[in-house]
Amino acid sequence: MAGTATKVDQEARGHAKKDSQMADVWRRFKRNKSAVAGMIVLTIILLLVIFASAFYDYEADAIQQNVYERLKHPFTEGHLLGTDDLGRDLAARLLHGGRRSLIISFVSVGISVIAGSILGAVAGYYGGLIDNVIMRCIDVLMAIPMTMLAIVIVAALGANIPNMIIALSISQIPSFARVMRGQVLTVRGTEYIEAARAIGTNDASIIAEHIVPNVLSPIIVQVAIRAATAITNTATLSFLGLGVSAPTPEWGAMLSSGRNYIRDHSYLTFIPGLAMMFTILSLNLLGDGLRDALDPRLR
Amino acid sequence: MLKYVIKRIIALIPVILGVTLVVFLIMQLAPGDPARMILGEMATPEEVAQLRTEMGLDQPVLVRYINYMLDFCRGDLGDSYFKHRPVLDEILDRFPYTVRLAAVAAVLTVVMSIPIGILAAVKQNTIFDNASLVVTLFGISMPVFWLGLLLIILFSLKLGWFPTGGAEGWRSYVLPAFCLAFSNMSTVARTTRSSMLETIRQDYVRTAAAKGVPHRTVIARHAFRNALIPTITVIGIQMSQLLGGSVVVETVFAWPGVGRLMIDSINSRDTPMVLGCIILLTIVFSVLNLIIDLCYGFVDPRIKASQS
Repeated sequence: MAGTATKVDQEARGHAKKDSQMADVWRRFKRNKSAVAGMIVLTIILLLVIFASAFYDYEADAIQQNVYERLKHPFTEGHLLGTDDLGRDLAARLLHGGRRSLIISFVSVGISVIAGSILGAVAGYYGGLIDNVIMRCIDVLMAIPMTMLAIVIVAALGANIPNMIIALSISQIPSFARVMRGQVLTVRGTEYIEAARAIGTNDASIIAEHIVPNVLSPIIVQVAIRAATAITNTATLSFLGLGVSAPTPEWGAMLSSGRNYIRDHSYLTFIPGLAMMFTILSLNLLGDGLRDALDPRLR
Repeated sequence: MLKYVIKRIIALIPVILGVTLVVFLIMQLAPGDPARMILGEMATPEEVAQLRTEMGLDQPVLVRYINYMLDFCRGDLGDSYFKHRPVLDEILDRFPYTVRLAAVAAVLTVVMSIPIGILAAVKQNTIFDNASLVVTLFGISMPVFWLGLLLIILFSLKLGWFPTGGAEGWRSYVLPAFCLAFSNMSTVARTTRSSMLETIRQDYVRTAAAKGVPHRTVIARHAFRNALIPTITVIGIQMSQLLGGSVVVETVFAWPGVGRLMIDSINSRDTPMVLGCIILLTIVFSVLNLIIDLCYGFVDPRIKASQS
């Protein structure tokens, strides 16, 4: 009876500890005004983009061409941000386009964080030959500038959304693998890992249950920063003609087509870029804030 | 030291072999038959088959890769499908433009970012510090091609100060170089600032100040030199951005460099040209990284000791 009580007690304490750690991070994060601002702006952008269909119908507003409404400047009647060269509402295309830009970016970061972390963790945990083989492959990928690697992959596979995601994921794997490996190396030799191994825990659970939770902070920060880079790279691919094809809206593609009207209708270039910049800016602020909040050295 | 340099150069060889293999294999995934593309739709299947044999396209991928690398070692990167001249000649014609633009951008980066970073740290929490934080934050958040287009709208179309593109005269360097330098500058300035802030708080800096060393000397001699290591690391990382960015900036500003050649070749499916461009840019990138690594030794003697 007493034994059970102690166990319950311990569990409760364990939970309290976990909660207070999260609360600690959140408390520090809240103090950072610019990080909170970044989080709020990002949330607004995400909500607008996720619920784009509530504001504008995809087919009718973002795809359907309308010759009579061509190149209307912002704040003209019925069109908050004006219309593009084919008479489509720019605000509608911006929201629906943001959906694609953000899906491509976030999914590619998601894939690369999983793949990169697994590769990095395995390399760091086992060391020796496995480490050597994985890291030399990573070195090769790192030797090609990230944007260029993505460009070449899309160029070879063909320009569409799945291929963009593949290209961006592959080009981002090295940075996650490196961060993860470095982190795993620092905790690999610690006593609690040795203890776990001594009681017969297998390698997979040691990595998944004991190592990964302890090295997560830099990975989380890296995710925010990489998401910002991924948005730029997604748009770069589209801008270079290696992204989504017309008439699908996407921020980089919108910017690229607005370029033809740069002299008299510069808002077509200005507005999609502004949307992109605010998203990237808020992700950067969020990333900086998370880094400061998660970094125990600042305590 | 020399031994270390040689060791590092030898270590580059497998990386470059790996890069060529990866890029070569990726390019093989591209759909379409190059022989058909060169001859056009009107060619007979026999003509296409004959050209395929002449080009060695009927051989297995690995054989073609080995042949490519053997030619590569002799300085032969193959012929362009459409420009009817050797790939290497075309790249070497364009390369100086890329180097000049990147060099101007790199100098601009260093000249702007380091003073801004130092001043922001020395005048921490003043209006200059806050302004520089805001500007650099925008710098890292603006997509390069968007900044380029904004610069064109303002300075070329509205004010007419600089040309919208091309590479004629010093004026044509201003916008693309600034565009390329701006985001790099922001990252370097931010790193310099935080590393200076850390160094300024060190005991030996306070000691120097307490001994009566003039403020300027303390900053320039004592603090700056030690704060420089992270800055150099970041400058090294930014070199990759500079090369990656040059592809975009050259496209925006119609700059006749290797980056734009690569994009044009991708659009025309000129595989040997794409391969040549990316291999060359990767080699340049790797050598730059090596040089940056060697620079540590000059700034921090402790690293030099561990290198040799």
